[in-house]
Amino acid sequence: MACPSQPQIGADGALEQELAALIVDTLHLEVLPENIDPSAALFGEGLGLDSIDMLEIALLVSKRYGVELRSENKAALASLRALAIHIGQHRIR
Amino acid sequence: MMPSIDHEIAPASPARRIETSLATAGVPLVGHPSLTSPIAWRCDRAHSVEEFLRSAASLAAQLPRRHFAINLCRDRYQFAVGFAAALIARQISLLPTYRAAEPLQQLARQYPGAYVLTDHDGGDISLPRFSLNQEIWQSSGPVDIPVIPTDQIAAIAFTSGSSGFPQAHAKSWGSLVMGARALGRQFGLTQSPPRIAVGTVPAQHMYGLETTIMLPLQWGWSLHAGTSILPADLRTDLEHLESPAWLMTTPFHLKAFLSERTKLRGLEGIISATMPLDRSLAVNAERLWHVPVHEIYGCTEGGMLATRRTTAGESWTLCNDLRMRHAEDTTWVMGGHVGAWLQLADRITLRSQREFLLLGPSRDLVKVAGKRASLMALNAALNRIQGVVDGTFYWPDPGQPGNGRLRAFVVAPGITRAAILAELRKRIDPVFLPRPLYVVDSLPRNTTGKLPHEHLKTFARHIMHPQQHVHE
Repeated sequence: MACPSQPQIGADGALEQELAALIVDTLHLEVLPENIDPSAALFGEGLGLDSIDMLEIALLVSKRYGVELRSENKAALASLRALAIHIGQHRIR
Repeated sequence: MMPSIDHEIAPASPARRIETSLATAGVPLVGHPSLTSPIAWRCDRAHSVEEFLRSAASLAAQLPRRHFAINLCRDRYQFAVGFAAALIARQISLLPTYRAAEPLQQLARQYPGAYVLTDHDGGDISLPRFSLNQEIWQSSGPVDIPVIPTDQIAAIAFTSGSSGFPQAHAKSWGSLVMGARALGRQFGLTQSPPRIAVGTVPAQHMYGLETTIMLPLQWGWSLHAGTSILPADLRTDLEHLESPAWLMTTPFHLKAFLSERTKLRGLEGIISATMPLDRSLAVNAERLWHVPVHEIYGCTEGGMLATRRTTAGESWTLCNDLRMRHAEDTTWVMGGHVGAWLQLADRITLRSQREFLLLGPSRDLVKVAGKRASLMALNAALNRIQGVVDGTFYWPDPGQPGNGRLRAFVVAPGITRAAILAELRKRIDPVFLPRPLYVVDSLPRNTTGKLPHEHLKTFARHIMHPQQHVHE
């Protein structure tokens, strides 16, 4: 998979899908990746993930894309789409 | 009961002051040497003891006149101010570890008049709500150091009982103070200059309350206001601090920080609890960060019971004011902050009066993300769902591959998996939701209708690894 040469602004459908598949696989979620609403909340309501999941996602994102997530950056963790945009903008691999 | 002191608290060492005062009927809220001492840090800003006491006193005067405050504050400093204000106003802090609307409603039914004390919006909580707002915490004049009666109920912590409903465990101010003292003794903090407690566990969890709230309050330490869950959170939090810190964490978080090789500047010690820490993890942590890794063994009912330096050996040392007794496969503990004999849910082998080995939880007990539940209770919740004909949760034996979450096998011909999960989400803490939930035709019950663990294990292997089974 080629890394984008320019930071991407806006939604990246392919990255969203890839991320959805990784999250479902890592967290053993009871949902199909394509059924995750990209704009729904990841934590609490919506997908219903908890802080243990947040840590798993942070490790996954760090290893796969070289992007460090911080829990105070709530905007980046708000939804699958927000996370994909954040990764698109900051990824180093 | 409220000595009025202008600027200096008596100069005796905090430890000694607590030691002498517990013999009396009350113990001061804080054990710091001076009103200007820091009691909390947020980024690079310190909150002084004076600011904390003024805020708590002012909040106490404004709280609704009720008996129970459900403290849901996420920010650790706000939690501490809310907790202190409730103590001053003689209210009991209810500390649920689960914030969903339905369990909170249930709590409010059990504790009439309970209101939610919170520092954030969100959640469709229909209970009366009191939001902490820093701007209204203004007061002038002399500062009072509240002395809290030792027999005053300070907090109620909860475990999931075997009935499926949360079980309440009341904590008096005296027992919390004694627990904080024991913590200091176990880790040799009596001679240590004040440090900063940084935590990855919420203050509402008994372990979080003991190590990140009570220890700082009573030993003159500071608490870090944030909850440093992610590696980048912790790294930057520590970079901002001006004195050495201790990290109060769990094996799960520690493993993540290790795998990221997170830089932890100014760290002086690590304490881990909620489940036993793997020895190799502790060895790697000590090697990477050059600090001792200690562990606490405890439970919500009793608080901290024993400690060990993980790299030094597998046995645990009981807190020195506690006593342990073993009879017919059951272990009991009493004394100090624990009080009367308390039966433990873990299987234990005593090596001596003060040393023991932890063999693991009893078969009915599961532990996910530091939270405990009874399999029996979870199964009862599952089987109460309309449309579920038969169902069971499954907790893989230690050493088996897994993601640390429960699985479930359910016979429910008329309803969908999603519907079962949606129902479960309303009834149990979501950390215990099965991942995954398998819909099956029947469960491997024996002729008497029982579901022996060994049957279930073989059955689970079939379902989870069908191909592997063919090759066996």
